[in-house]
Amino acid sequence: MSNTTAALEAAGLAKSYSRRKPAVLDECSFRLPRGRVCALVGPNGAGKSTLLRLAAGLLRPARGTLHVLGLTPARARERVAYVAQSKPLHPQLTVAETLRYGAVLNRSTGRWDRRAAERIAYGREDGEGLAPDARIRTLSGGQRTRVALALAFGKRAELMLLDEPMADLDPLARQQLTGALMSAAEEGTTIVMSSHVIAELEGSCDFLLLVTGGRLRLGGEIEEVTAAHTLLTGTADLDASRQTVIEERPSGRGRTALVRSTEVPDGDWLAERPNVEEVLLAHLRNTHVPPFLTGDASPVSVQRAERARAQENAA
Amino acid sequence: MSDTTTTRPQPRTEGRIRTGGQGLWAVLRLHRAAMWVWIVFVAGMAAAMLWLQYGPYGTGATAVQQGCGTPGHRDCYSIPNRAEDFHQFGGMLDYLSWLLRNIAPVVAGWAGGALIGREVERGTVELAWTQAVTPVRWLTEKLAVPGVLLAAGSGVLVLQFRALLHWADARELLIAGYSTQDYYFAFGPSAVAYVLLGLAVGVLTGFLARGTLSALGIAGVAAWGVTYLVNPWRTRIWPVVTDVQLGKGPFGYAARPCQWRQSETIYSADACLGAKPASLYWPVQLVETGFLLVLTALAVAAAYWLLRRRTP
Amino acid sequence: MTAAGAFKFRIDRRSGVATYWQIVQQTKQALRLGLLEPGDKLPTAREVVEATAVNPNTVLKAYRELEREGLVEGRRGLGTFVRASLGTASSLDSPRRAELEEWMDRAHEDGLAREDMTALFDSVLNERFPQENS
Repeated sequence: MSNTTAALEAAGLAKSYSRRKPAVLDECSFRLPRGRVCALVGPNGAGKSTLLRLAAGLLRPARGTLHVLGLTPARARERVAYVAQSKPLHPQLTVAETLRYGAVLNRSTGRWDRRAAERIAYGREDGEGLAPDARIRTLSGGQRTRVALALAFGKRAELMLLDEPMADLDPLARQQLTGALMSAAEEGTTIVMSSHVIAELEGSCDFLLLVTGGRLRLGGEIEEVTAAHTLLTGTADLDASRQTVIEERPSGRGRTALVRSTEVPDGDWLAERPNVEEVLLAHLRNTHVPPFLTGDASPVSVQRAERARAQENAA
Repeated sequence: MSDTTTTRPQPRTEGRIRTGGQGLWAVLRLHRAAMWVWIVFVAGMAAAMLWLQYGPYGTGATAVQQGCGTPGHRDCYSIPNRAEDFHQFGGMLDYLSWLLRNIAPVVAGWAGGALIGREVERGTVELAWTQAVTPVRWLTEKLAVPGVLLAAGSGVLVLQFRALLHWADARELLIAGYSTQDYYFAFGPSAVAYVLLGLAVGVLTGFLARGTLSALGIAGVAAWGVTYLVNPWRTRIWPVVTDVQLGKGPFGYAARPCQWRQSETIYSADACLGAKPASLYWPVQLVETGFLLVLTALAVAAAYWLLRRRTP
Repeated sequence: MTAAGAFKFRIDRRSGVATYWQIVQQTKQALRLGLLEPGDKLPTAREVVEATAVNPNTVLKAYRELEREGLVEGRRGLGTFVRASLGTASSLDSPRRAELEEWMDRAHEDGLAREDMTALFDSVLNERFPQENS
């Protein structure tokens, strides 16, 4: 059963903070299979944090459903770790007391991993981590992030939801903590990391969710998403009715276009496989193009509908 | 890649949430400052009452009354030069009663406002709610732990105040009048209920107000406002003694001098008109306590409702 | 060889070369240079991801590729071990090396600078053996 229930599965998910303002998140449907390291990408204010807060059980959706590890977010609470963007911590506690706070608040699960939390907070080598008796209020932003992540690691969650986890880490800490995250992923933990810096996530993430303007634009395994797009360079005209043109820019006497297709159209075209960054940037600049979800990223309801349609066609 | 998730036991669909609480340590550690304010308040009040009883004013006033001839002749306090201790004692008693009635609920309100408001402001509520503690359980502990401490502290103070009152009455140190009446009827379980109401109102404002400082301000004003509104209700609504004879008023005392001196001061005339029989004590206390606990329950329910509306 | 446990991958994110391919290439180079010999254990996926912060699936993909090429084999519960060598000494000190040295001397006499030689070498190499880097 665990294999079939997704880490996250959203259907028609919407959230607005006020009736008068437009929805922060609208019509979001996607599926994140377990065991992936997912980059949640999008510009500031796109709805990334809202999506993570919904998944963490901190917000109530206005419409639609969201299942976390096959459960409602509130029921999945003890199996999910969440690190908020502002890394809230109690300033009057010391680092050691903060870890004790985490241990106490997770006591009921019997899963608290004190050593894992301490390894993240204090580091394994000298000069890597923090002093146990340092007060939270004396810590820098990056050091607070380390403590917040230590709590998340200590929880030994099946799903880690991290809002901008790397934003204020120095390069050394970033490398060390990403390494720790990857080794958690290696054990089967699903990780979702949000960021507006794409380069931060390359290499460590294998799944992608792109959100802009509260809507989901791209979703799926990074390899699959990039493989579904082609970068065409040539002088011929593109027939927009034959493939979805994400972006077209003049280049010399001809043009360079990113299209959502693997077929090379007639004419003299140089076809290249775009990298993630090119695909993402093109979608960020052109938000009118229809969204694209790979099979893995489609909610089960959608998959079922497609299977039914395929069967109908076959019959 | 080893998929450890497959080996984990699958949750039952019902009754599965094994969420625990934050525990005593976490609540006390996080709100150590508020706890110390309360401890200092309780200790300070207790010390002040002991000092009043056994300090210079108490002993001085007792000496005045003892050297005053026959019992029943109770106007020694009007003897020039010797009256000072007696009047100081009365004044201090009045002051302590005011602190206990008006400030204790406000301190509780501040504690409640700080308990929630600070966590909301810092975002640490979300830290707590994303551990294995449900928001409802979290709030319950935030109410229960300080609730017990506040009830215990104010309960001790109320008992001590009543003991002081009886001690003073036995030594004929109480001046008949409005305030003695008031002490008698105000201090009991209802004083504890006021403190709990202060906490509940504070917690509610902690959720509603933006920022800790405004929560503290609003909680203080609200807690004090309720006290201000309920006090007159207590003194006006209950029937008064019409047959003003010795033994009918509280301590069997309050009614007498007012009849005696009715024409001289408005103050004692007031007290006389409002004199209530001692048998009313428990009805007054229980009705008032019940009313305050209903208000407390409403404030707590509103806090839970706000919490439920915010979180799934 | 006990030092094999300490074998480390160096991932260059800006090279534009896919991460899994860097791991494959570095393993092969280590085989050529004799840093790894048959029977040696490759670092576990966990060790690699902790040290390099790359996605574990990437490491596993690289190891699968090496396995497909018959260079390593995964033993359940034990790890991934080197199976074959890639002609260690020969690449460092072989007749081919002498020929290359001779070629470089002649190129130098013809006035080719260091960069020209690299470009020429890469060009021919890519023409003959196109990179399978996807």
